[in-house]
Formats: sequence, structure tokens, C-alpha cells
Amino acid sequence: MRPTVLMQLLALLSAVTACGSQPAMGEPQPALLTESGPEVREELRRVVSAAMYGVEVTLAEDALTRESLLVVERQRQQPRLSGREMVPPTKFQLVVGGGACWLMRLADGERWELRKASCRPEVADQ
Amino acid sequence: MGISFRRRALAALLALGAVGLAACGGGGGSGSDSSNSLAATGSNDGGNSDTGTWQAGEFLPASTFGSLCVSPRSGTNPATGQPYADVLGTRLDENNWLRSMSNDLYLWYDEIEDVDPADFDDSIEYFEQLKTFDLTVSGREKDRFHYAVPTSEWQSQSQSGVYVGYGLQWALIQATPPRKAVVAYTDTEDGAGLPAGIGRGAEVLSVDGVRVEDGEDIDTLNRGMWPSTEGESHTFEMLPLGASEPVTVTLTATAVTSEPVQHVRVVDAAMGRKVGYMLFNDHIATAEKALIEAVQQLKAAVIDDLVLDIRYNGGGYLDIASELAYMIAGDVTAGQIFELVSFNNKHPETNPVTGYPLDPTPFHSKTQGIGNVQPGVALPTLNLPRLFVLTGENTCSASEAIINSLRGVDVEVIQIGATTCGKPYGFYALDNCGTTYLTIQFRGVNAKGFGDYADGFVPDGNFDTAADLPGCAIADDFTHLLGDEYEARFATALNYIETGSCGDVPASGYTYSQVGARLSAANGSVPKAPWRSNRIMVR
Repeated sequence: MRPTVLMQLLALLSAVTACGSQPAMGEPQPALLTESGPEVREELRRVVSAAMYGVEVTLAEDALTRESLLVVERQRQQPRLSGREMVPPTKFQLVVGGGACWLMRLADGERWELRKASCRPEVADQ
Repeated sequence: MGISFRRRALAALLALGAVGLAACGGGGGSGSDSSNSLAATGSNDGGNSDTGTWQAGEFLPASTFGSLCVSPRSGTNPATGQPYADVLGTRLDENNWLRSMSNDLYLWYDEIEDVDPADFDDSIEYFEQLKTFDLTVSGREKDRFHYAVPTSEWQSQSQSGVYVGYGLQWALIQATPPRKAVVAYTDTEDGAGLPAGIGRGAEVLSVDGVRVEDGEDIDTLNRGMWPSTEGESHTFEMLPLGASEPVTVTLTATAVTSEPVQHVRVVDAAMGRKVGYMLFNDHIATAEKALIEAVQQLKAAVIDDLVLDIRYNGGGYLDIASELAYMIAGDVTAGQIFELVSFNNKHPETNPVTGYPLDPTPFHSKTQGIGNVQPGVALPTLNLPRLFVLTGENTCSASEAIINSLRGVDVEVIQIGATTCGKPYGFYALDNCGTTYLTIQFRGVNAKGFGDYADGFVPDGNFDTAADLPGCAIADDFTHLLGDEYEARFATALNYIETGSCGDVPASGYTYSQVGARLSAANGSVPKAPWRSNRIMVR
């Protein structure tokens, strides 16, 4: 059992390192959406859902317009269904780079282009 | 040891699988806790597992039956980022998985009556039998937290603090006729977006023409009060706090962003004492930053006492509870245990779901980075030797852990309000065949090893246990806003600080209520599909 499991682990690790190439975009900067109309919001919702393998996601109307970080967690349940939450939330950050807006998952750097959005660097607000 | 290694390796494989797919551009893991090491081992090739007939007390590993489903799912499992492992099985397979899983993980597995799983053609009905039916000292059900929900619903996500609603939370003072419902609190401190007068204490008289008090169409009432989709509009007849005439308002559901920490303020009490107050409603990710800012504000004011209002706080991230406990008590928590979880006696040293050693959660003196804060930054602290907590039946789980952990390091906790919910327990949600099962797996104890508060923490209690806390039993005062020093619970806390006694606020002068519950018909029944009735609480 033990050698088999180890071999599976090694195989997966090599798979992780073998893929993952994405277009270069220079040094990405944290960004904010310049506007958040229905189209932009729907695209954002679709991208976040796809990044989480199709789960339903509810986002605020002003998501990513005030801060570049998007923290996504399990939807609020009735009190008796919740309690001690052990699993941390998933974090995304809006970044701008290569002339495009990207939603980047912080845990692994994976990113998705938001084609309908326009962004500005977050530092402009500071 | 072999089993432990196998589980840890399996957990690692699941995690790496998600990462691997993500790196290939397919998206990422949801961080869901629905993946589990009890799933099929990968050897299932369809069909019944053919494991023979039931014998009481004889159990095969749950993995023998995992993912053998009456209706196998296809596509990608959001919990793992990999294809569903489901293959065609039978109802008996699903029941056998429940039976073996419960025997392995359920905290009180030895109190389950082992009945033949073949006798049940509904797995949720069978699951409902796989629990203890013992009672607590006070006569309540020992396990009131045994639920099954559709996995797709359990896995649904939201931006932290965002939900579809009106921006207010209802309190049900009476859920059956004659029903009575009022606004408990607004999701933002200023009630942004709500009509004038629709705040705490406003009573709902009718919803879409159906009277709350005695209307028979409870579906209309529940749908109107708890909308499910953005853009839904419903008409309410409401009596604002202090008004003599009702008003009619139309509320439209939107994606509301709630503020988990509100009304942070300082009150000048007798003898020059400064008393800090904060309302803390949810241990959600955004609370981490809000709590730090609140403590910084109170620290700058050099408060002598803190009144922490957690009457509506049902729990959430345990790490945030630990951070707050540290920020309240400070130095006295150094090197101490916030909470240690223990599973049943089959798993004395290792977490059977994650495979990791059962290490205690410390009091976090640095940020954990749950929300929008950098991890590893030193937290501010008030260094208070005592804490006043305002509690109610909705004070649950991680909120109760704050109380218990501080008592574990000899911080005095004075409780004003009503008995807490009594949930020193937790679980990892387990998915099988599209249903997520919530079954109690562990108990949390404090640094003194105490965790026996299944009947809740009781203000001025007389059960003669460590769950009896000094303080005052005071009902919820919907005639005043939260954070108002004349609100009965806050007023009592202030009086206790000044005089050491509860004062003359009448304990029964106000009302007890439930937040998060649903309205029900006269007989207490709620006409919903079986899986939904698991979500509905009736009084």
C-alpha cells in the first residue's frame, strides 16, 4: 500500500509541475473595477464559479470596486447547520497586467482574464 | 499506523488533485470540506458492493460503500476538482456507507442502535436513526445538530458577508400561531437601503397580504420573509418601533453585504470607568479585519471593561474566535490552549478526517489571514481580566468557544442574557452521492479540559456545573436598539459593572426569540420537501 500511494503522489506532483503555463503579463498590480454593470458582474460571477468547478456563487454588486481582494466562503447557513468552520475561505485578487484585467486565485496564482471589465490599479486610490 | 498513513496520503492526494487541475488552467479547489477520506477507494466498478447481509455490530470500512450511488453524478466534483467517483450502486450501498461512517466517526457511535439498513428505502430517513437519542441533564436532545442537506446547496459559495435578502434579520418571538416576528437587527449599522422605521423592533404584521399572526398560507410568509433570488419584491405591513400606526413597505431582495461587527462604542460608567461595547454577529472572513479595527478603537479609548454582544452570533471560523479571545485577554493566554478537539475513542490521537495529529488550537496572537488582512501580523490586545458577554439562544459554537476558552485561562466571564445554544461540538461535512451529511464528530474543550456545556452556558445558572456562569438572566429587549445603553441586556451589564449586581431590569420584561428560524403552521408542521424540512426549525 505505502509504495503505491507514494508513487501516486509523485505522479501527481509531476503533473502539477508539468502544466500551468499561461500568457505572460508582466508584473501584475492589484486593481479595482472601474465600473460594475450587470455584464461585468455576471462575467465575474461566472469566472469565480468556474474557478470553483461550477458551484453557485453570490457576489455583491460592488465586488472588486472598493478593494482588489475577493474573499469567497461557504454561503451562510441556518445557525444550527453551522458552527466551527475549519476550512479557510478562497481568496481571489483582481490584478491588471498586459493591458487586461485578471482574476487571480491567491492560493496558486492561477488567473482568468475578465474580458468585459476595465480596471485601474488599486494604488491610485491610496 | 497503516490506516493513519493511508488516510493522510489520501487527503494529500485529494488536495494535490485540486491543485494539479488548477495549474492546468481548469480552475481551482473550492476549499470545500465536503471531500472526505471515507469515499470509495477507487476500486468500485459499478454495481452492488455485494457485502452480504447485515449483522449487528459487524462493520466494513465506509470506503467499501463510498460513492456507490442510486443516482451517480457525472462531471467535476467541486470539492476535489476531479471527476465524481460515483458509480451505480443501490440504496443499501448508500445506507451501508452511512452505517459504517457513523460507526467510525460519530462522536457517540456507541449510543447508536444498530438496525438493519435494508429496512430503509430512504437514506435520509436511515441517517436520522444514526444518532444518539439520549437527553442532556436539562432534558433536551443530546444531539440537536444532525442534518442532511443537498451537497450542491452545502457547497454554494458567496463573497464573504454577502447573501440574498433585504439587509435585516428577523427574530421569531413566536413561530406558531399566534405568531409574532420582529426585526432583530439590520445587516449594516445604519440600515442602509431600508425604508425609514424598518429597523430593530419593527414588527411584521403581514406579508403579501397574509397575516403573520394567524395566516394559513405559511409558504407565502416564509417566501416573503426569506427571499431566495435577487430582485424578488414583497409587500410588508409593519409597525415600526414606537409607532402607533403600521406602514406598508415593499422590500426588494438584493445581494446584501452584512457588517459582522457593529456599534463599536465607549460608554462612561460610574467612577470614571470606561466601558467598551461591540456587537459581533458573524464569524465570517470579513470579521477578522473588523474585529481588529474595533479592538484598536477600544484600546485607544483605554477601556476598563468590554461588553461583547454575541446574542445573535451562531459561530463560524474558529480561528477568528481564537483571535478575538486573544485580543480581549492578551498576555494571560500566552502559550495556552484555546480549544482542543477530541474525537470518539477510536481516534484518540489523530483527526480521522484529515489524518493530522490532534494538536490544540492556541490563542492566536497574530492574524491568521482569514479575511482581508496579512497573516502573521501581531494583534492588538485589551489585556482585560474579565469580559461581559450578552448572549441568547443563537449564541452558538464558535461564539461559545470564546466564553469557554477564556474561562479556561481564568478570565472572568459574566453572562447577561439567555442561555446559549449549547454546541461544544463540530463536524466535517461528508458528501456521499449528492447528499452532505452533518453528523457530530468532535467535541471542543478548553485549557482546563472542560467542554460539557451541551445545555448551554447559563447566566446565574443553578445546574451546579462549570456551565453555570455568574451574571443575569435577561430576555431580549426589542424596544431598544442594539448598543443603546438603555437596552435591557446592555443596561444590566452596565449596572453589574457599577454595582456588582443585576439591578432591577425585569428578567421577563422582554421576550425570547429565535433568529434564523422559519414560521410554521399551527400544528408545527412545515409543508416542505423532506430535505428542506431538515433546514426548517420550528418551535
